[in-house]
Amino acid sequence: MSTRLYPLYRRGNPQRRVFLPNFFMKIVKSKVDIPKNMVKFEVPLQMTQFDVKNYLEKIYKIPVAHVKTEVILGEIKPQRWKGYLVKNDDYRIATVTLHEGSFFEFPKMFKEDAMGEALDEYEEETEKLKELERKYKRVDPLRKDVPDFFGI
Amino acid sequence: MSALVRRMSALLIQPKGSLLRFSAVAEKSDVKQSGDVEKKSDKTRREKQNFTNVEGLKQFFDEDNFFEDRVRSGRSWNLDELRIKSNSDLHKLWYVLLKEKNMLLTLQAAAKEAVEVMPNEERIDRVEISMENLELVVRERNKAYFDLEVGETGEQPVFVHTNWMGLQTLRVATPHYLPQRYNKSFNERHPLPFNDRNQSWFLNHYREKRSALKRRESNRATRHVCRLLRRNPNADIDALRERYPTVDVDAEKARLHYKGEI
Repeated sequence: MSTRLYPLYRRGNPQRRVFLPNFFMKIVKSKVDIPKNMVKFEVPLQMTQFDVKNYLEKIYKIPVAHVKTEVILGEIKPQRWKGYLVKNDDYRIATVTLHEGSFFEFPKMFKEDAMGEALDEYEEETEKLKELERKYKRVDPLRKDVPDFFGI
Repeated sequence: MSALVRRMSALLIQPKGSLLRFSAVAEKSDVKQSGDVEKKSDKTRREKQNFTNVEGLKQFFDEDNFFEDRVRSGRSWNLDELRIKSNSDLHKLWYVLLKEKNMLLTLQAAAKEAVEVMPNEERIDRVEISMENLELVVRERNKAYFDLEVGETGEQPVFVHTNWMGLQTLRVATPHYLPQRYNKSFNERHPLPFNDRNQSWFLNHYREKRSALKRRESNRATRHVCRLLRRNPNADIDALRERYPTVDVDAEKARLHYKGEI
């Protein structure tokens, strides 16, 4: 595709420019404690430190002090019940240091006890339903004292 | 137990207070009130988190929809909608979409890490489709511009390449610093195809196999047409001709008629 291709040589040898960058960057939660002004990003393998810095500064307007990237080997494990190994894809982690005074802490995005809340809700709803049933139950005056098992 | 689990999963999908919808006896006003009260209490329980003081980092998160089970969203951008936009508009839209995608990917990774279900994962596909469409529109414009200014499309040219087995494949031409005829090491590694005994043996057998497959396929079609004609002698001949272009339908019909089968 011509819009994604960059010619090997262009007259004057100008600085390379990207007009529609297709790199992604996602913030990931660090498994170990890191300083407050550090953020961990998962980025494509092709991305360099300079790319990360430019990306954050130009697109998101985040002032960046320092960037370090490393390639993490994908997990290798045996396939269950089969005689071969499978490997996850490699990925690159960029650790970005922000300037002094700024902080970042990965926010809580999901309910603490989603299943428990849903269960409570379910119990509440069933109780309400039972109440409603009791409230609005219509009784046939002709079979008032007849037991349930009698008739259809 | 399984019934309970099924019930639970249904509950998780439905919005709050939806169970009351099925009770025919409950009045509408009751339902509305109870639902409002629940929502309010939920919102008061979850205060806004002050997780960063950097404005840019907040764009990686959808703060309004934290703790939500499902998030409603629109459809992706169509080609026709994008074609009427100006270049600068498309450039701005690309960055909007890119930021949205980054936000959704962050959410997806967080959900995976927390062993949770990501709310409305199809949003990622929608954004990706929009981005693909946008890139297609830019490509169209690029092609038109190159055609007008240079007289070429500016696309990578495609050529037929004969590989070492003698098979022909399509290849995309890429720019090189050196023409191929001057590139000695490349030519040594990739010699031109010559009259090789093994190659000709392989090609003969390969073509034989391919033609046999073709023949079998056409025979199968002919037999099928005959069967159809036997079953239904007044079949629409034109439709059959159109459906099975390899079969001589008239000849088959005449043959069957001569044999007395129709």
